[in-house]
Amino acid sequence: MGTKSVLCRYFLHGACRNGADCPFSHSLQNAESQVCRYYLKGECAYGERCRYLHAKPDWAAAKRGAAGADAGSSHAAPAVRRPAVDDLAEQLPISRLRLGGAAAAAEGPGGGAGNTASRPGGSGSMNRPAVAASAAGLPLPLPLPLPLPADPFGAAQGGGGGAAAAGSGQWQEEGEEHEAEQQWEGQQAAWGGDQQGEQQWGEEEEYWEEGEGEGEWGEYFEEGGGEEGYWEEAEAGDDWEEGVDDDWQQEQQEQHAALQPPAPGGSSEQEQPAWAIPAALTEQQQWAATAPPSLRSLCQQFFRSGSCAQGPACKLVHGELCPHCHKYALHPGDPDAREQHLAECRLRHERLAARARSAGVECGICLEPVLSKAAPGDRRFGLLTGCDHPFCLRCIRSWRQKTDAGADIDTALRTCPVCRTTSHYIVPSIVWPADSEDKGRILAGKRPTVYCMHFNYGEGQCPFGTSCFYRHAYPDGRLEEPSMRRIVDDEGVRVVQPVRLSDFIAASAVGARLAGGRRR
Amino acid sequence: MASKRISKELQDLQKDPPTSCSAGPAGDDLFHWQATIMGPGDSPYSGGVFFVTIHFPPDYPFKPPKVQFQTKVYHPNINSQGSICLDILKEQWSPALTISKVLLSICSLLTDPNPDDPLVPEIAHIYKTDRSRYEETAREWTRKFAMG
Repeated sequence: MGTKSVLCRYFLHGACRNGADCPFSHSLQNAESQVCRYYLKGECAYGERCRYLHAKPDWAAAKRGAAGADAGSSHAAPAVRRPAVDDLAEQLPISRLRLGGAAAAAEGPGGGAGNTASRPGGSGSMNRPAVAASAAGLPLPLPLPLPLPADPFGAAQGGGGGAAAAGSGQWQEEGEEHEAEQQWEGQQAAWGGDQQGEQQWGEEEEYWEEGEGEGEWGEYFEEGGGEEGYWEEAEAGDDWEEGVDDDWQQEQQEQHAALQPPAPGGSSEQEQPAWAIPAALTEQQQWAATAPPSLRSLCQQFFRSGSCAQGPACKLVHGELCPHCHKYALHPGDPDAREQHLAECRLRHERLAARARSAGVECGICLEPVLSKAAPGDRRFGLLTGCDHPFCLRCIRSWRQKTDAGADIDTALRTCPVCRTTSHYIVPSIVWPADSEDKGRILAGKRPTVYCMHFNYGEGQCPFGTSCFYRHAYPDGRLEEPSMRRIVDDEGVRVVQPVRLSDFIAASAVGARLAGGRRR
Repeated sequence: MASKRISKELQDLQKDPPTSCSAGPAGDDLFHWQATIMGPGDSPYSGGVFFVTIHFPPDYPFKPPKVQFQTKVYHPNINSQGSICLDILKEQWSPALTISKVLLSICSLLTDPNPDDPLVPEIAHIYKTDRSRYEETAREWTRKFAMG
């Protein structure tokens, strides 16, 4: 299993502590893989929400090159760069931000052209789409790797939390983007076994199949993604501690020097281009840039060990002991940061517990533990709505799509391979739910927001009725209330199933196979 | 995926072999197995050892394995070519089924034939109308073909 082909996201943000030892790639040669291939073909169904970059490759940009020259004059002021990143983080899917790396060298409209050469792996450079630039309202000469703010500490303290906001926004958005994709895949799979679905969604299917091919990113997010990545690393991060032990004194000095308010007026930020920041950042600066927002204003030494060389004279804030992580992480004077840290800690514990619980769960099809699959992208569960038997997402999906194998669609394909309970769709999940409540939460989180094209806001009729995965809502937002046909006779009132087109399709498919004499 | 899953099944079979059957690759080819089924004690096949070949399709376990008797069996659902009429080997196949479960299903098919969905209608007819004659013939075939 090679993670070396996966671009290191910390490297992209200029903050990878592992350097040459990092198990992930620090080469931008593959940066092209971050460009949305559907955008390049001319149409991407995700539009703004796509987590791949919507940008033309550099060579295309180069041709258009000179046109943007006038914009170049405005590129300088790196001071404006940070808010620009904030804006981006808020307004764009993080993919763009991450790619910002790639866009990096980009000729942020024209201006950054000069730095392109200074960046390694120029082949990967992209042209940030106009929409990104305009969203930020500013030209974006983002060099690669995306450097830290010139004054990371200040960034952290400045309430809005420059990189801070960018960082946390990123984690969250990545998760959302990824889930959105999973949802999509789930939908696709749900339709997959259905002939009608196949016809209608043929194109999308192709899209997603291809999409899975380039699954590196998806895999990576799951692997290193989320706070967990950070936390595991942070906990195992001996390298940090060692550094501190070695020359903590000097480090403390730098740390406290970082406290100095920036010189008013012609701040160093303005004069110093962002990409000129020295590679070796102080511990506290790194800390301020990479730690969760709730911890950034704390003294890092005290946070880790409960003691600080400066003692009470330390100008940094000394936190109080967190009961969950046993670190001095609770800000004494900031209830919000406190609460945020506690929430993060709880979430992290829950996630770790969920991971541990899921580790041994075996797929009923490949008979291997789902989370031990070789390809990181395969380490996902496909939850069935009708029962609680575990399967790999890929396995159960492959099975449900095997309409050509002669298996009965209604009694075999659409049912759980183990207990034969019918499930109309499968829901991807990276953890195995602890109980039905937990499962309910996961399912609820995946409820589709896509409107059903058959139901068509009440104008049409959906052949899948109440089993439809898509949203049945009227233009005013009201959800459809399934109407039941009732028969009143001697036996009392009975609910009759409405007759659906899909019933006939399935029946005739079965009939055709049986008539073919397959059983003889 | 297929070969991985097949080797996993092989491991499980060796670790925890089922009581009345055994199975394993016939040669070097992992996709071609040979299995034996002991005639169930409460059936006319009791005492017989039946040889079965198993061919795994390349997309196993998404498609059922092809299972055939090599030993002649007098049974309403098994024909003279050794083909078995069993729903789980056809349209009711499930990827959660393993060879060990399939062999157990075949054992139970030997004990309880399904004359309503026969592969050999003549045997099914005899089974339904003259059970003792069916049992006698089945015992005789077992003695003749599945013993010694």
